Amino acid sequence: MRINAVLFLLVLFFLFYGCEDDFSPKGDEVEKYAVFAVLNADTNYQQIVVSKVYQVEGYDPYSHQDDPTVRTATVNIHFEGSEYNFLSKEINVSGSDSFIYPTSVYYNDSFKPAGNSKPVDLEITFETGKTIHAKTSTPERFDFDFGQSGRFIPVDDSISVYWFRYQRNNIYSPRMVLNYYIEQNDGSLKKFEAEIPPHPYFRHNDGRTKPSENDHVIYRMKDIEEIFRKISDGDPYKNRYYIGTIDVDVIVMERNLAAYYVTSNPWQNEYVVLVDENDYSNIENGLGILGVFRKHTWEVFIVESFLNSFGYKKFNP
Amino acid sequence: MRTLRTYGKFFIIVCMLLPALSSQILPQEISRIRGFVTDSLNGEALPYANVFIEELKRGTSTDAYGAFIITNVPVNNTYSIVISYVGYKTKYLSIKVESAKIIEIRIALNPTGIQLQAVEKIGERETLPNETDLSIQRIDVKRLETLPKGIELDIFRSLQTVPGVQFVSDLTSRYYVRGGASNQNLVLINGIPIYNPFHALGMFSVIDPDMINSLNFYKGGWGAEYGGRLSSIMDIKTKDGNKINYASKATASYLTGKVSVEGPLPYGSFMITGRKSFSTHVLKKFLDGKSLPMSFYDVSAKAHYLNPDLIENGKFEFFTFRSEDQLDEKDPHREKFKWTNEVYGLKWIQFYNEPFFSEVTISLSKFSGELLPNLTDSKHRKNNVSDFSFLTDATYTFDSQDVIMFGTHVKIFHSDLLLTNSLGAIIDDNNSGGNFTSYFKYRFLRIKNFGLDAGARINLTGITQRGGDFYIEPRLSTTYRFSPSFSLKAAIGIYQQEITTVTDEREVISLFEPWIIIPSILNPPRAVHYIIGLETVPLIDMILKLETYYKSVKNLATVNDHKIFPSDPNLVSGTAESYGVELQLDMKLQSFYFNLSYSLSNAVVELRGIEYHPKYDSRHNLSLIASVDIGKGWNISSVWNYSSGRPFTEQLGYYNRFYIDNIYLDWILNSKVKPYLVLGEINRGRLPDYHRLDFSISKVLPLDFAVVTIDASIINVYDRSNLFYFKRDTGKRVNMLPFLPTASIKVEI
Repeated sequence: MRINAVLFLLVLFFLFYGCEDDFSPKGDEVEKYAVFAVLNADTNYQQIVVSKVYQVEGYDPYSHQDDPTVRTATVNIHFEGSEYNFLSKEINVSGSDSFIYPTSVYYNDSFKPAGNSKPVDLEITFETGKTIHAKTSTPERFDFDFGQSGRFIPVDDSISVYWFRYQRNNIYSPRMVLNYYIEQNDGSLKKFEAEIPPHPYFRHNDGRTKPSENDHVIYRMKDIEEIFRKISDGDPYKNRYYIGTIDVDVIVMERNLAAYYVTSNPWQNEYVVLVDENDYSNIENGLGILGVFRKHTWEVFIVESFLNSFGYKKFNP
Repeated sequence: MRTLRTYGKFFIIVCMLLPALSSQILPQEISRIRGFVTDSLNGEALPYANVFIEELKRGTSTDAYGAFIITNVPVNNTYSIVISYVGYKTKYLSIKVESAKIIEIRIALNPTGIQLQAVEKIGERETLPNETDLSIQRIDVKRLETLPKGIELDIFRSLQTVPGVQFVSDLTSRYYVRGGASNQNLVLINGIPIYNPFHALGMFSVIDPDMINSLNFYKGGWGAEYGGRLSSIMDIKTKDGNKINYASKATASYLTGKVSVEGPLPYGSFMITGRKSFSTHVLKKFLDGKSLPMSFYDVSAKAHYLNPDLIENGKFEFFTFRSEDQLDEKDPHREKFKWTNEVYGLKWIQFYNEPFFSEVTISLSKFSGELLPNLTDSKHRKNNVSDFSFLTDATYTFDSQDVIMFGTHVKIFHSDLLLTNSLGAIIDDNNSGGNFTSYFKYRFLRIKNFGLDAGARINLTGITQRGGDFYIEPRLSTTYRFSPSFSLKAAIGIYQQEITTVTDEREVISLFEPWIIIPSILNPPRAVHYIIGLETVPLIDMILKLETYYKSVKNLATVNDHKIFPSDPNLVSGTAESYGVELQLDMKLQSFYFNLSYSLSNAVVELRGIEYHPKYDSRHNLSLIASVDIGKGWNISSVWNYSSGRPFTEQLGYYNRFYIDNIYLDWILNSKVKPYLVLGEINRGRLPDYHRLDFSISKVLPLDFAVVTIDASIINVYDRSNLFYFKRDTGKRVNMLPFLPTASIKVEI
């Protein structure tokens, strides 16, 4: 019975011993920078955003009161033997009421990272003397597969557009755009675009196209007809509509940008408890991305009798 | 590789020489006594009962089938044999040995009562002086039933009090042994592997304790008869069923209801157990208040057939097991999950007129896990595993008392993993392989205070392409007893594992852990165990065991958490190293039982040049158990567990990250920008320490028509807020189980 008494006292002791440790998951503050350089291989105008890592009291990063955007760094890109210096300029992204959106970007209006698989080297030197680097290369140009890609509509069921993947691990983001014009009261033509959703296999539930590694995309005729109807929905004057072409644009993202894109859009189940999220960066000793993309276009022609069936006319430039 | 081959050759030579030593000349007029020890009430085999011949001052213990053999018994003598077992009245037999012919006896022991306190001192198992049992834990299910059970008794969870076994939380039964990952643990039921032995996202094991007859848990250094895993083996033998009377049992807890039925059959017996969840309300305590629309069940059936007219001294066992879990919200906009285990096994156990017995087992174990996305954005995922095994095992006992065990294990393994990755690419990893293994183990037991097990597992072909090479896994375990109260033990062995789970270690709770064959681009993981231990009896009724171990793993197959593209490998290869000291103190004083377990351990994984402590690497682990029988069917018990902080990755701050949704638009003006957490080096921080006290009181009511056991427990008596994980976005703590009273009732008819 003496043992029972000891046990009982032990229980009583612990009953009054309930506790919770002070615990903070935060480590020490470090000097670290995030760089976003998403370069368009089809234009001369490029932009780069540089910001620093910040800490906040508590756990709400939106409560951050200092602008983390960096303006004073030296930003250079080395490409095909030339050095391109980026300058800082202020921007004001509408609707931003915290220091989440950048207040300044670095830009260069004479740098076009064209060419196939050409190396692109980024170097940023900060006021503190710290330098960070990043490397990537331009995406390979690709060709559409004339043999398998549809060229005319209407078709019976669906139209496919195929391309050749010359490089592994690139992501392709296609979109089909109907170019059309509406005759204004003064007789002029105003251009409009309408995006046609792809086959459900190629899109998210909300209708957006899913960028993927696929080498083709399929558009159903019923979706195309639906867009043809919608553009003049409620407008009795169908003959004011002039139909141009249908373009299938395909943007290719090179490996690094593709990886960044993928890790920005993870899918997961609610029951999975994953403490540490995925992240991808090719910025050495830093965060963010240096990536390049390029657009290719496949033109689809519309048989005139098809557009006439909606009451529209063919656009002749 | 060269070192391993050299080890292998050395062991083969040693093991070939050992049987030769048995050929020494023994007296001609000797006999052997073979016996089977069973429970007199239900005919169930009693594994590990003690059998002792007083005149010879020699003894042995029964095996998992309740069988024993004592060799080298001179003829023309009468012997007094003492048979004893915990909870049973000791039996004394007098046997006259008149000829060299093997003598067979069957002993039925009478239970002393339903309470453990009535056990006589002599009934406790005495370890044989030369037993090579380093790192083996024999789990006593009867004792577990007297300890705090939590929601309900869980065999895996009970390992928390075994030194060297770690858990990451109250909320999962996944266990980690001596620094190894959970997929390095093998769970065998009647020799058949179970690939997903968990219910409810890993919260409970699928093993119903009511079906267990014996449970051996090997933390390392196990013999050549086991293979296929790097860290531990849990070998469960189920009950045959009551051979004398029909009996049934019903138990209800907060979570499940279960029944078992057993009884005699012509020339045999059967046992059927079934368990089904009827309310998952209590699981909210496990998931931060989130309801879990989970349902599960498991059912097992075993029948054994023993007809001496058909086969003398032989018996057949048929065993089947099925478990199923479903997570279904009955909403087409939510995913549906389903997991199933199926096991079928047929075993022929044959005892011969020589000190020899054999087992032939044919089994099929299947696992299927599937995620059905319904109308969600999730991707269809599916994993099918099938394991067909044909096993032959044999044991021969020499007159010198040495034992040789040998066998062949043929395994045909198939895994099919269907995944769609985040890029939309379908991964269909469909693989098969055959593993043909022979093993032998020589047990050198002729010297009373020295025992040596030497053997090897010889993989003639492997499941994996890389493991297909001829590969030897040598094993050695030895014991030297300096005095009746002090012995030194050591073990060394090499272990290979050719299958693994695709488990993301960052997941605190995971839904989908598919098994795959190690891909051909990687070598199969291999581990070396080095263990030294001592066992001493510092006081009467007290046993102290101390073990120290070092385990190194190379070619550790780990999920490639940097995988982005389908062409990136699913798994990458790393190394692991763990070492530690474990202490276990057992004390039994009449009606009082006390156990202390402590381990000091360290585990490190190296992957892509980065070293880190895995999430289960807690430096100090302490467990205290106290149990008192206060008479009249009352039992009080308490368990206190302590673990020092587990590793976690610290957060260093935030950066503003661009989420490029539409690449066709100006990415600066049109992208979402959101703060993104910056993490430090992997698992460099430590969570707060864990400790929890559980308390239980139970009462056994023997009624006219049944025996009713009522159990009331309190989990986390002092309501310690043990941190499970914290939500990085809010800093909110998600704690493990709070103060939680539970109760269960069991009716045995």
